[in-house]
Amino acid sequence: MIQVVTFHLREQMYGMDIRLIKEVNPTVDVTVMPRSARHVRGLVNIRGQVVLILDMAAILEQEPADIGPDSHIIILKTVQDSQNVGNIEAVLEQIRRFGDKPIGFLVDRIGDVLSVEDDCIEAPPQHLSRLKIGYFRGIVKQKDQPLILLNAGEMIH
Amino acid sequence: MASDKNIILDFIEESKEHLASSEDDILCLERNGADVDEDTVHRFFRAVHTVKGGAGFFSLKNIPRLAHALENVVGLVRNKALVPDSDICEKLLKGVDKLKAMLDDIASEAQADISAEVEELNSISESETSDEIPVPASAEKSVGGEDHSVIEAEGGDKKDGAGIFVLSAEAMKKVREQNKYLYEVAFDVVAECRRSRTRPSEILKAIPSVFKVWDSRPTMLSDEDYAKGALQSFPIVLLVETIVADPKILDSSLDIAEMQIRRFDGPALKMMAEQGSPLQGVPHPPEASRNDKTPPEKKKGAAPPPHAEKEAPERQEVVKAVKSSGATLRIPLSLLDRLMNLVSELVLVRNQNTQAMETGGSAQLAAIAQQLNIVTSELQTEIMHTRMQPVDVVFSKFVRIVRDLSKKLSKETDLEIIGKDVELDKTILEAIGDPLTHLIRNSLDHGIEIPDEREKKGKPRRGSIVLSASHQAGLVNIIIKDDGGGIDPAKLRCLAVEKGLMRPDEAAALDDRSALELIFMPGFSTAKVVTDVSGRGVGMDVVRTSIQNVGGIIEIESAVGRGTSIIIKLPLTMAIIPTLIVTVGKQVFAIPQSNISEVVWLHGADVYQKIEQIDNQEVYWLRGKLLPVLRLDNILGIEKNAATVGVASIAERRDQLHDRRQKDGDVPREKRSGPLERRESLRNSLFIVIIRLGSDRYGLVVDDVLDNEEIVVKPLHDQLKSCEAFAGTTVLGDGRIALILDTISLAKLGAIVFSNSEKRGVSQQKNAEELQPVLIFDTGGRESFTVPLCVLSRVEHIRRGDIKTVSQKEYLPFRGNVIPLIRLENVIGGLEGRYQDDLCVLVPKCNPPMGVLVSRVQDNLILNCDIESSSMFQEGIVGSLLHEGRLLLFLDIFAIIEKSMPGWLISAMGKEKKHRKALLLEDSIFYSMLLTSFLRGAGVEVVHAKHGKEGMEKLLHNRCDFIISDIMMPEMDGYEFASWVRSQEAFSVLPMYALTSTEDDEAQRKAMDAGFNGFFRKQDREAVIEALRKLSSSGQVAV
Repeated sequence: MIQVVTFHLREQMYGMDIRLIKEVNPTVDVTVMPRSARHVRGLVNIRGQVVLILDMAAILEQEPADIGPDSHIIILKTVQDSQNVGNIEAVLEQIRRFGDKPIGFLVDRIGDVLSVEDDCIEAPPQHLSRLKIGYFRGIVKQKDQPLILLNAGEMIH
Repeated sequence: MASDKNIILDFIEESKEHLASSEDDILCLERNGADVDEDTVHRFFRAVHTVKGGAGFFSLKNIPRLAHALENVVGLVRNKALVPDSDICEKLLKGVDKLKAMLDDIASEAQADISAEVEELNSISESETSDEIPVPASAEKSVGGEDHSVIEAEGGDKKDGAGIFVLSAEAMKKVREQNKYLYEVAFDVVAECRRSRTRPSEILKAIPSVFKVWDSRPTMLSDEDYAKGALQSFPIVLLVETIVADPKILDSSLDIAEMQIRRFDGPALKMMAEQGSPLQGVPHPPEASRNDKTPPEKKKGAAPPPHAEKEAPERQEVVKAVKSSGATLRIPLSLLDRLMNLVSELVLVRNQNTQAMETGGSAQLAAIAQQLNIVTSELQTEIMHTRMQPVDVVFSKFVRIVRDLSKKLSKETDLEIIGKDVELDKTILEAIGDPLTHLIRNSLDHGIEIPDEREKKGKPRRGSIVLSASHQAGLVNIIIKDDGGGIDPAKLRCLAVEKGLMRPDEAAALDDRSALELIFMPGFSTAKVVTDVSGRGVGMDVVRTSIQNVGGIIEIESAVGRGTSIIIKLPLTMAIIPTLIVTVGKQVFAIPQSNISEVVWLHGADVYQKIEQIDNQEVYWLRGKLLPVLRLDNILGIEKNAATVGVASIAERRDQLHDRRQKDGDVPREKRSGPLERRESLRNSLFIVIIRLGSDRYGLVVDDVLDNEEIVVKPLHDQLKSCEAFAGTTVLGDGRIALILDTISLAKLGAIVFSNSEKRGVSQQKNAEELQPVLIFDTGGRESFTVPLCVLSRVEHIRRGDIKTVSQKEYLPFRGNVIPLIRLENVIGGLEGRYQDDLCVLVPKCNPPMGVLVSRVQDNLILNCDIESSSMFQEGIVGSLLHEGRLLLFLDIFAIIEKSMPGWLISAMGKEKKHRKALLLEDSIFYSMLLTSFLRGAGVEVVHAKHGKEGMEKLLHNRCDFIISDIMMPEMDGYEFASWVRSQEAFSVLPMYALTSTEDDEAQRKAMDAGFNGFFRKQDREAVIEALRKLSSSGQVAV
């Protein structure tokens, strides 16, 4: 069983392993980074730390998100935060990919923390796989709508 | 209790630290030769010794063997049985190197091949010991410890003397079981014998029987050897077994004045104890010293008399060791980095707090904020200091490098190091190590010549490299200066062409300074043959990049035949830097202050007028220097909001201007199109931040300049490295994020070509003497003209009605005279002449007087008259001059008079009926023009030469009545020319005047010695005329 933080990009619900996440913040002023790639949203100041913000929607090859009152930033753990993770190699491996400087994802809306049994996770459907296959960890069928689980580590390269 | 692994790591760490200083010590020994410095040799000995002892403890194989061999040789040096010559030191160095290498790879040290080193070292020690070394034999008897399992780490070879005591575990156990204690007692046999007027053997005998002497290191000095009196000191350590538990009792029981006593607790403890050999360096609690028996003068520990120093070197060492162990503490770097980060964040909070207080807050809080401010600043400074290290850390290794390399290249070179205490941030120090090594290798390999060649050139055989560090204006300057062959700019130009880096014409256009900069180009190496010394595929471009990466600047100066200096300017630290905060649109940026030379504020119409366009590059005239200009918004692609619309209009205008300029040739026009003025309300000011890049500069246009702020540099996320243009980020006091601009990348992104524009600025600086007051005027057309004020006697405002016309010629009543008037448009082709009712007349300094009609006097200012001369200008125009984007045509007013009214000037001298001719030598276009004007104004025909050589030729082909010559000229200067003139019989009495720009007595005296008849200042027309008058009255002017 894993715990998953859910969030929305437009109407679709996504989820990410909670052990990868350091904190979730409402969107503050994002400083635009000139000359950067399309998926780089900019930089924010979280308690004196400069956090690089990536546009989750842009990484998934959707229209870049619009920042609204519900927008949130999911800040990932850095290598320095990984001591609290314990010894789960798969998680540590992902965190190592995040590097040693803080990084965050801009999402449209933040959801809940859900517990998901491992055997409820199905392989991602084919139509999603035209994107980089590694982005998707699987899909969880819910009552109302499916939850797409993401591999955050794969999305940072 | 530390684990074995930790102990061995400690051992490696400690050994390396010891050996680090050994290199210097060996080099010092080599320098001093027979005059062995005891401190040095002791220190070295101890270092080797510690390594040997420790390695033995860990049952290592080769390290102790090699250390032992080294120790043998050093022992001989210490006992003055061996003079450390260059060859011996070479072998010692090799040995130490090998030791270091083995320490670096401790796991495979047993496989290391040390036979060569050991053999070499042994050959030295054996050849010496066979005859000279006094082997103290007598002690063997009195030292009764052979049955007590005293084990030498390397297996019992004791002939060298001092050794560390290493006991087997059983032996230690036995001692403990018997409730006995072991002590190391260190003292100087010679000093002690002198003090108590006794012999070495007596000292041992005097030791009470409750103390059992097990062993000694080295073996006790024999009475015979002592009697020879050759030894100044003979330090020794005894291993003593006793039942006394308190060292103080032991201390008082032994009749030895100066000694160190240390409890011997077996090998493990020894590892943790400082400084290996108990002989000298044992950090000893002061109470263990026998102060009570110390002679009175020795009690003043602070300033012992010189002989005390000699007699008790170990005491000095101990004092030093105690001091240093108490004053420093090893802290892991990661902890310091963490502290740095915390302080950085504290600084941010402080900044935010300060800003909050400025916008409101009670007086009480303000006082607290003030305190917080002060404390934080101090804390910041102190924490910064923890990262600072003396440059010596890097510099010290160069002594060795220079020495080894000199040998290899058969050169003789001295390295002088200055300012090794200057401190730099650790990061920066680490970053400059390799570049400096490269530069020093270069200096040695390419710079310093071989001794024979140097001798031929009249230089001392030994070359010199000076490596210095010093503070200057908040930066640290590191200078590498050699007295070698220097770098020939001509060769560099050829090479650049050969390597296809530039076209021949481009290369030829470079001045020497720019040519020197060529060596920083990628793919450029001046070595004809790639040697294993300098040519390692690392070019000077890599050096430059490394220096720039830490915010430094590298410059090069060289004089062929005299040497090269490389100047590196580095910031003190990288973590917190002073910056200028600027904005473009809504974005905030920080520019490091160290990159900024100044800031220019343009407002009103200047926003549109002062930035010009040349060959697709915007430029700005800054005090006569043409700087390329970049617009930050363009480079970064920041969208133009309302505030930046003005930029678009400038771009439009630029295009218009460009088109028109192509139609009109190269002459820029300054007429402004109408719509622009309307747009000015949109944007009424901008700032140009002048960025310094080594010797180049460029302007960076920003919307606004906010503040100076000390910022904490936060590195960019790796994901953003591809953006270039930025060196990092920071959080400002108000919580906003500012990007730190990377001024080097910006220049690259903006594709700035640092052409001759800036370089010309440099040459203009040299000609600062050409600063001249000038008058700027026009004739109602588009052209602006200028003349130096010194050629004019008056400028009059007149009305059109004042002008009288007589038979198509215009005249003006002027001061009771009627003077003829010239219109410039009649003399200069293609010129428009439009005059209003109000106009002006320029009256040049000539006789008889006349006037030049102009429409309007625009300005009256001081200009740097570095005139661009060109043959395309018609007669009467000397050249052109760009001033703040305006093209000014420089008029030769006397040539115009001559052209308009031939003979007018000559007629001034008509009474004398003499047509006189002068040879004028002057390299400056401006001054030759000016002086020609003066002379023509006085009716003298002028033959002009640019330098002495040309002057010689002209003099031989023209019949000149006198000579006026500048002093400082290319090719051949005025003194040389004058000497030549005087050496020619035909010209031995030809009047000759020197031109000076200053009242310099020395120069004037020299001028007289060279054969000049007199001198006058360049812009002093009266003096010229006076000299001419004197010439004619004295009748010296030959016809």
